[in-house]
Formats: sequence, structure tokens, C-alpha cells
Amino acid sequence: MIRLLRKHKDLVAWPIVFALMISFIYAYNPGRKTVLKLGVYAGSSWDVPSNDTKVLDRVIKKFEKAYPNVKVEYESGIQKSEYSQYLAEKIVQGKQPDVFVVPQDDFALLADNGALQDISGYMENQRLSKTDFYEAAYNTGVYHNALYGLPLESNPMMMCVNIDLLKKEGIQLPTSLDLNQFYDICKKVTHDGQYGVAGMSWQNIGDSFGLKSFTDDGKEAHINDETFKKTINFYIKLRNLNKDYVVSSEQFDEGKVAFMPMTLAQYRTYKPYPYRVAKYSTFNWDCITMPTMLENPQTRLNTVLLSLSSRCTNKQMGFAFMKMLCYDTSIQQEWLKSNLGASPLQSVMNSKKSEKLFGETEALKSSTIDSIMQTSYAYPLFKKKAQAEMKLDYLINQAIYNNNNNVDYAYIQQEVDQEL
Amino acid sequence: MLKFDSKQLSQIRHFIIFLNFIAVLYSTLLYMFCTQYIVNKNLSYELMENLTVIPKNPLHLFFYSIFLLFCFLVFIFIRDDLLEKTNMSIELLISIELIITVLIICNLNLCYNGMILVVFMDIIYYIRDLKRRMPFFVVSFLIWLFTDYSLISRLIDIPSIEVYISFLPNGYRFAASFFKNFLTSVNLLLFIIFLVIYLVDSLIAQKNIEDELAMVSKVNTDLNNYINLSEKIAEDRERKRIAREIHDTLGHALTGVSAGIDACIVLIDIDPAKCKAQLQVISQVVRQGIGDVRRSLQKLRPGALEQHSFKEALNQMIQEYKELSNLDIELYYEWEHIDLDQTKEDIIFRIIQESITNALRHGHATRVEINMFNYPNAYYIIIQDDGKGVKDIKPGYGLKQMQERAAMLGGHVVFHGDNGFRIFVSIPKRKGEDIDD
Repeated sequence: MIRLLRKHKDLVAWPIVFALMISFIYAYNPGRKTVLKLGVYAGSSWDVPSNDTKVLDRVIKKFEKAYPNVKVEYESGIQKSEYSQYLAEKIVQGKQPDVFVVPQDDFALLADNGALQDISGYMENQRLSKTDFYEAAYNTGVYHNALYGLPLESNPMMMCVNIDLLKKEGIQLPTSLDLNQFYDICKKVTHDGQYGVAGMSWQNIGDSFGLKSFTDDGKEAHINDETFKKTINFYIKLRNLNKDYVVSSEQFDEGKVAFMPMTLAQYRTYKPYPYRVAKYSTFNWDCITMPTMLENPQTRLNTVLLSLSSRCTNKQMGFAFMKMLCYDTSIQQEWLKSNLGASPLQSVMNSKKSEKLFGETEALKSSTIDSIMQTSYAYPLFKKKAQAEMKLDYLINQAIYNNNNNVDYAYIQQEVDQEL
Repeated sequence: MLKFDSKQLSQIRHFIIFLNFIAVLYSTLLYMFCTQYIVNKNLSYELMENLTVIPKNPLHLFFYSIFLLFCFLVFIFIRDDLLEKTNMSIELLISIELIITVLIICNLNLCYNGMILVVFMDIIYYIRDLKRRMPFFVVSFLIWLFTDYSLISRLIDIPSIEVYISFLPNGYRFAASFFKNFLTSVNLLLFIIFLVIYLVDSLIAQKNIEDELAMVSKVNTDLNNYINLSEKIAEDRERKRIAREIHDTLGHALTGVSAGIDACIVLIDIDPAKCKAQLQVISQVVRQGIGDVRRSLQKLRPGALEQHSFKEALNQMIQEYKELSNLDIELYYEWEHIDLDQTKEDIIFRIIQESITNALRHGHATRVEINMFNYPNAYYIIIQDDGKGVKDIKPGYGLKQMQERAAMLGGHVVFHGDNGFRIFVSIPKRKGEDIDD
């Protein structure tokens, strides 16, 4: 066999030359259309019902018009809940889309694994200014001093207030509260099947105290320290108002609770303006900023990012698409209208169209959202954050509910550190 | 290039290459199948969480592996041809092999780096010179070190095959790991066997060379003995010839003379005239005897001197020596205007001849310089060679004879053995020899 091959070298050489020529022609064929694959999910990013996905198709059409030799493709019908798994599957098989939506929880893992392209260079080349974005939204895409994604949509945390209930108790609705005022109001309204607050987690309170449970690099937990203890103590104090009774969000729906933390997307879903079905039609309600103890409030902000794959073959093109979707004000304006979060672009949130969209008469004007976005804060992401936070939450709740408010901080610190 | 004929060595080489192909293919397929399994079981996200870096497309990895293995195979087939038919240096070929190997290992995410042993093997097999081998050993060793997953994964992120395997069900996990480690171990074992066979082969080769050297040395001694013997025979023959000559010429003449003189003793009183005639005859016989002796001596002269002048004879002898050996002989001759008698010429000729022979035979010289100076009162001959020389000179038969010969001319010989071997001969001048005087 070997001798035969040695004798007839042509038999080996010609197929190789032929194959090389074919692949060369294929690779450098000028008529071939570049395909840009997108990774998106259907529906809202914020676990609320959503009605509109057509805007993406319009963006794609506009993009293909601007770049005639590019074809943008995406797989439709992937649910938000399946998206992380879907993306992981694609990445594991090396078939990841060129540009894809990255949920905040997955961002650190993907950035850490090198799945995402650092786009700082493209930002500079294309003269994109980071100050056009809200700082917190922009910073969500920053990992280890590199930029791995542009903010597509943000979702700030707000405090919903049952205005009717407060009026009934003779309390004037303030535009902002500190935690002590908040506690006082809660205490005042808690009587006869009425409650102060529903669904307020210890993390919400931690945000108000400026708590950072982990170091920025995610190497260490900060549990056995003063702010953490203050947070948990306040949480216990607040809970004790209800004497171990857990107030549910349904009770807020029924109008028996004064406060409930809510995201902007939830607010936009349930607020009966301009034409959505009203969920809370029995009482008047509105949103204010979360109560805080800080001079510079740190509202928790959730942001969905659009990232460029590190394996993308035409990164210029990929970034051009990202730029169009995340940085083009008219498209962001459309996106804001058809989706439920806030736009990470400052100019969009401050536009006349947005003012109209959110209504001028309501308490939550677009300018209010703008100020919430201005004060919001992007908590640093790291690879094992989701697991560590889950474990921390579990341990805290276990201590409070099963162990009679006896929180062993040192033990929890140790346990959580193991996750990191 | 020296090549071992050991069939075992080449068999084990081929087997190691084959085994590495299997191992590379196995690792490639392992990536493919594990990925498929993980995707089918919806464990992709968990895999991502456990990997430190996202993996390549396993299908690309597979095709790239196949392509690189194909390149490697083609390279192995044409390597020997390239070595024999073109002037391609083995260093270049080994470098190409090293590059392909590194590409294969990197493509496999460093999950199998036993392939580098193939390069090690080829370095040992093809480059015999230790000095030329060294840089390749160093480079290969560094590559081996830096492609070791457990070492390098601390410095850079690599999607580890172990993480993939850990997702397999228990039984498969064990089998997959076992076969992978098995291949690695067998590869190492074969490499060690290769080394041992190589070592044994080189020891055998060295032993063969030593044996051959010993044989050559023995042949050399035999030849020396033979030379000595033939010299002895030649000497004997010469003696017999001289004896015969003396017997034939001088013997006859002297017998005749002695008989004639005896007759003369008787005749001188009886017939003085007859005696006178007899004496005439004797005189003739003596003259004839002298003539015979002269002719005999003529026969005993060195051949060269018989036909040529002294200088020509020297040059001819030098030429003959040059042709017979690698000896480079230079003659500086100041004796153009000197007319020596035959005996002197013969003796000096013999001394020079003996010196050159000694330089060649005992000194193993490559160069001999013969200087023949003419000074007002004496002739000086200095013969210098660049051979081993002798620390402590104990004159043997040859040197003693040289001294005796010189003494016959009233001269003397001095030997120096410190820096090569030097023979210094001085012979006093006799009146009339130098034409210029």
C-alpha cells in the first residue's frame, strides 16, 4: 500500500491540489453572502407577558438594507427560560451565534469562558461614547476592565405604593423615603389584616444600606461585617411587624398592603396605561424610588446585554448590528415601546416620545425613570455569582425561618466562601 | 548517515507512530461523543460552568485532527525520500515534524501530548550527533513540559477532556478514562522499549567498532613483523650476494694472486725472467681483481645513484616515498657545486633514506624537512620531521648504523626527539670536493 502510494505520487498529490483550489475558491468567492446569526429569545426579558417581537424583524430589514451583502438569521421561538441552555448547547458545539442576547445572570460565565468578544476597540473605532448610556447599564457589560456587551434593555427596581391605603391612613405619599421613614409607615399601617410591605427581600434592604455581599472580583464574601448585620437585623425587624406572617403579593393585589418592590417591567405590564388590561383596578397605585439610607442611592438594575461572539468570523459586521440595535436612538425608541424595560440610552429615556409613552399625568413619568436609572447601580458580576447568591439566600432564610432569627454570620461566611 | 539495521527498532518506531495515531483519533472522537452526549442530556450549561473556557466546534476539531494526521502521514512517507534525494537537512525535517506535532497537540486542547515522544524518537533515530541533537531535545522537552495539561492549565484556560468525561455515566466514564490512560501508558512504555533497544543497538555497534579496531591493530602488528622479517631476509640475501661477489671476484683474484706469488717465490731464483713474466700476470690479475671489486661495489650502490646524479637520486627517492605514503617531504639542497666520491654519496644517501623511513615508520610523521647545508669547513644535514618524536632516545640498530656510517667519513650524528624527530649530521670537508673553493 505504502509502496504503491510512493510509486504513484500523482495519485496523492492531485486530489490535495484540487481540494485546496476548491476551498480557496469557496473562501474567496466575492458573490457569497455573509450570514450573521443572531441569538435571541422570544418574549420579554423580565418574566412578564409580552406582546411584541416584530421590532427585531424591522431592525434586521433595516440592517440588511444598509449592508446588502449580509443576511441576518435567527432561530425563532426560543423561550426565555430555555435560552441559557440553548446558548450553552450552541457554544458547547461550537455553533454559537455571531451576535447574541446575554441575560445578566449568564454574562459573567460567558465573559469568563472567553465566549464573548471584548468590544472596547470597536467602541473606540466607531466613536461610540459610553456616556450616551446610563452608567450602570453600560457597566453591566464590563468584566475585568474589558467591555463584553452593549446594554440592550434595562429593568430598574422600584417601590410600588398603594396610594389609596396610605390616604386612608392619612399619610402623604412622599417621592422618596429613607428606611426609617419606610419602617414607620409600615408600622403605622399594620393593623386589622393590613400590612406594610410584601415581597421585600433582605437583598432589597441590603441595596438600601449599600450592602455588597461579595468583593468585586467575587473571590470573597462579606458576610460577617457590620452592613450585612444591619441589613439582616432590619429585615428581621420589618418581618416582626407581621409576627412571622408572610405577606404575599396576592394580598398587595387585593389592596391590603401598602408597599411592594416591583421592577419597571412589572409596572409597565400591570399599569393600565394606555391600553393594557388593568390588573389592579380596585385601587390607585404608583411607583417611587426604593427607600434608601444612602446619599447616593444604589438601585438594583437588571440589564440585558447584546454581545459579540469571540468566534464570530465577521466581527465588524457583528458590531455594526449591535450598534444599530443598542445605539440607534430611533430603534431604541421603538424597542422601548414594544418591550417592557427601560432603554439604556439616556437620550431615548429623555425624549418627547418616551414622555408621551409613559404618560404625563402619572407619578412615574419618564423623567422619574430617568432619575432612577441615573442613581441605579450595576453590581459587579462574577462567574459563580448566581450559585453563591442562591446559597447565601438559602442560608439566611434558613437561619431566619428555621432557627429563630439566630444568624451565625461566621458559619454562613465560611459556607458561601466555599462556593467562590 | 549511519543507520541501524535493527529490525526491532524500526518495527517499534512504526508501532509507536501507529499507537499515537490511535490515541489522537481516540481523543478527538472522545470530544465529539462526549459533546453529543452532554447536548443530548441537556447538560450543556453545567458543562459551560465547569469548563474554564469555551470549547472549539468538536466537528472542526475532528476534521482538523484528521487533516493534521494526514499531513503527518504524508510527511513520514516522503521524509526518507527527501533525505536521500534532496539536500534537505534533517534539522529542517525534524522542525517540520515538531510543528505538525505541536499543532496536533494544541488542536486536541492538550488532552494528549504523548505525540511529542514520536518527535523525541525521531530526533534520536535521525540525528546521531549529540551536539546537533541537543537543541532539539531541549525544545522538545520544553514543548512536552508546556503541553502537559496539569501544568499549563494553571497558566492558560483550556477546555479539559476530564470535565467532559466527568459528565459521562459511571461505567463509560471509567472505560473512557481507562482507555485514555492506557494509551498514554503504553505509548510511554513503548518509548522506553525503543530507548532500550536503541541503547543496546548502539552498544553493539560500539562493540563492533572496537572489535574491528582491535583487528586492524593486530593486522598492523603482523605487517610490522612481516616488514621486519622481509628486511631480515633482504639483509641476508644482500650478505649472501656480497659473499658471493667477494668469493667470485676478490676470492678468485686473491687465490690466483697467492698461487702466482707462490710460483714467483720458487721461480725468482731459478728463472728471474719467467718470474717477471709471472709477476706481470699477477699484476694483471690484481688489476682485474680491482676492476671486479669496483664492479661489485657498483652493484651494491643504491639503484638511484647508479643512474643519476646525487641530487636527482635524492629527488627520485623522495618522490617514491611521496607516492608510497602521505608523507610530505621538502628538500633544501645547497650542495649543487659539490663533487663527492661515490662512497660518501652512498653513505649520505643511506643516512637520509634511513631517516625518512624512521620518520614514517616510527614517528608517524606527515612532513619531513631535509636541509643540506654547505659550510666552509663542513657539510651539515638536518632532517626534521613532525612526528611523535622520542622522549628518551635509545639508539637501535638503524641509528647506530647511521652513526657508524658517519664516523667512517669522520663525521658524527646527533639526535633530538623533543619536537618531532631531528637528525643532525656533520661531515668534515675534504679538499677538492667543493668546486667553488
